Amino acid sequence: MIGAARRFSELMNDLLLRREIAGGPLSQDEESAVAGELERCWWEMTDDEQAESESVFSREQPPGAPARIDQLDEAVEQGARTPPRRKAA
Amino acid sequence: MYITAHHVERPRTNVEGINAFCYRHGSYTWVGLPPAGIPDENPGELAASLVTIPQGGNRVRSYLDIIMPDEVPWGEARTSFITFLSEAQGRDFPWEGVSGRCTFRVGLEIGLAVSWQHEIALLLRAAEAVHGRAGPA
Repeated sequence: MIGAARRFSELMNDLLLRREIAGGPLSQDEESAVAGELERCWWEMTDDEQAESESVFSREQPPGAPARIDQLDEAVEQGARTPPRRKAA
Repeated sequence: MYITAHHVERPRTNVEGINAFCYRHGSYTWVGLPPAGIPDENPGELAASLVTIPQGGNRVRSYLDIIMPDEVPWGEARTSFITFLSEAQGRDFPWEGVSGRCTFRVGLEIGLAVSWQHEIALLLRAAEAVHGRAGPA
């Protein structure tokens, strides 16, 4: 059995991804089903876990990332055995 | 199996889009981390692709890699990805890790970091589509 904090995080990530793919909120039934479980997990979490979750999901501070990835794509055809991406020279 | 979706930008025109590819390893299977060389030296055999931007020489702005045995169904891969995401978020990109039978790698450049969830959702959707196009193992 997984902890409430981890379950809360997984539910939130799943919900946010589904919303992003849908381009907005899901149907009321879908949102309600998740909201109930999120609330249950939330009240099982410690104060520290709640604070950490708030920080992660508030989006105040996006994750750091490199200025550029320094990779280029490669042309590949059906049946190819070479990867479609390589490090830039 | 190696599934990759990457957001590319064409040089000069700056036109952008997401291309996705699905490679198979056939009956070659493994548990946990993929064997050495997979996918960078041995991506498998390209079984399906979804190309929105003509390939070759485009700059990669973000990518999602999924490496797993061919037999893993998409539903299991997606669930493993959510677990991976929950463990990785909060760290700086690139992210890499194993969850269940899948290994994931996610990279994106700073210009996309503010909307990283949207970006990952687009990459995941493309990965799912190309996996579906490849058909059953």
